[in-house]
Amino acid sequence: MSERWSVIGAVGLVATAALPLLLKDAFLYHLGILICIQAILGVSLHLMLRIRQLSLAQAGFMGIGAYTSALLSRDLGFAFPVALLAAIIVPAVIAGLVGSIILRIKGVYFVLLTFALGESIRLVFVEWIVPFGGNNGLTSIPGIAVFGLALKARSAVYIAALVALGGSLLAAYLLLSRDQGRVLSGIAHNEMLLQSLGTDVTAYRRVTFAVSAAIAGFAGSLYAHYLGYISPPAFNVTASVGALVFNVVGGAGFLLGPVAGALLLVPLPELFRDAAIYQSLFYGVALLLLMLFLPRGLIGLLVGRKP
Amino acid sequence: MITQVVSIAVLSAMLYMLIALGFTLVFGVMRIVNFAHGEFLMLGAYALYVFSSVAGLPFALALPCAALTVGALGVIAEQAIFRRFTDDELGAMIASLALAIALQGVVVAIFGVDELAVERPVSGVIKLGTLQLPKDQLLAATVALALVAAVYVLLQRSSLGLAMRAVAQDRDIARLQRIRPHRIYPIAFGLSCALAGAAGALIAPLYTIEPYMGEAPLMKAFIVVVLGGLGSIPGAMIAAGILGFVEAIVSVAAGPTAATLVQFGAVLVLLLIRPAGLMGRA
Repeated sequence: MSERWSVIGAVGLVATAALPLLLKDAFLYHLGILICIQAILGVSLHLMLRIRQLSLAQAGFMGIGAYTSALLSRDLGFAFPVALLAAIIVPAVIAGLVGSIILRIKGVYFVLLTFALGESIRLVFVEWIVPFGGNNGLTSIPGIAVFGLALKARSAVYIAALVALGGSLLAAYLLLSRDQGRVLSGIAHNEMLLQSLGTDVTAYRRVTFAVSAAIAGFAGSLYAHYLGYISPPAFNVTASVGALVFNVVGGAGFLLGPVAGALLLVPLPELFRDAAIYQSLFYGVALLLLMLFLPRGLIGLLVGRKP
Repeated sequence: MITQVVSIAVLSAMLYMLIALGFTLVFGVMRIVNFAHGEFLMLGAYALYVFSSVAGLPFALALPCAALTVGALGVIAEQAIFRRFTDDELGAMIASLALAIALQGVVVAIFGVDELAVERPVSGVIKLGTLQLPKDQLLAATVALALVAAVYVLLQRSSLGLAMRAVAQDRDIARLQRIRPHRIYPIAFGLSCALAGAAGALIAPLYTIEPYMGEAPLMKAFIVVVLGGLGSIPGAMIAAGILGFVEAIVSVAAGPTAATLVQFGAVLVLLLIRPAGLMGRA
């Protein structure tokens, strides 16, 4: 049963992913790229949900990645791959350092801490006009380039975004599988037992936090170089909440949950431009209904069993 | 100059107290972090707009009407949504985030995103020596203080307050005393929302109102409540006082963004040293 559904799901995802390439529509490419970037942010938050520590600082980490990458390539002239690598490493290092302190705190307090952390990161971008550009942000960021070759065609950028999403999913999958994954699910279910077995639980939490920040930074770099323009509001707590919404809608218990959520929700504002005034109403009500009646998300509905 | 800073600090501290009081009450009694608290404040402001500017009621009547309306909405929200998440902190948080987005959406759909102005109930300033106190702010601060005092008396002196405190301390023991937590929750949540609504209605004439006006006060409530300890009412009072002063001093000296950064920094540091806040329990 579940195998059949996962095959159907995989085929569906591949078909959806191939759609823009078949139709060759510029707007579809644009949507596809945005979905990939947002889905990567969703995957980053998903990792934190797996250890039951909701982090509202993920969009902040995405911002750190975006600004790092943009400043390195635009002002210091580094090549895109170097900037991308830095955008992955810098948030991971920051999360690793901060995490060793804040991850000791659990539950509601952790959410509030990361809320404060995320807002502080955004305020740093706002306040330090040199080098972050304040409220105006940074403009004319060079585009994505692979091996010195700029990806000019939308289709090429779209394929790169798909590869990036695949890479992020793979990284998350590796973290969640094998022994490491068993420890992480143990942390979510019975942390005391793990500790009594001599597991350094905080170390696992820290690795998860650092990897999730790295993935968020990765998304930030792609975002900055694709749009060529970044400003602080894109990385506020609301953006983190958006990533949380992808997980809840898609199914927070499944790695593909945030991807399904992003696939469904990112196009909505673009498609219903005329009904912009009802957007957040629709968004909020849909999310509320999902929380009340479909707590395991859309994938949970399809699979029909406990994850 | 210094006296002016002090007066600004006291005025904002009173409003922070009122906002944080409802927030911490719901956490204490129901263990729910209500991310929609700022939106209930925003609803209070819009309710005041409807009662005073549209229906033409005087401010003295429109203010309690607005607070009661928002309180009633709070009771509905508790019955329809939050009672299903009593023991699920994460679920309740996500549900309250969803509610916040939905409430903003409702207001945007009805009133639009443009800022609306509400007429000030009083204007002019009171001069005390060199000190100049705007009358409208003074009124807001006084009403806020009176409401905080009334709630404090309610919690400390009435049997309902005793029941709420009992549920907050230990739900099971409270149940043994024939207190029904599920009867207390809607009251606590409604009261919390009514307080937020009153705060919104008090703020509305001071500034303009818009659908996203609840976000900044929610942030302040967070800071106050986390500093004071989630669920601790005396802690919230003290923290609101401290926050008001720190904010006034730093924003005069270095600007409002710096003030916010200092507050967040203080929260981060305090949570690391004392995760349960100044007066909270873990």
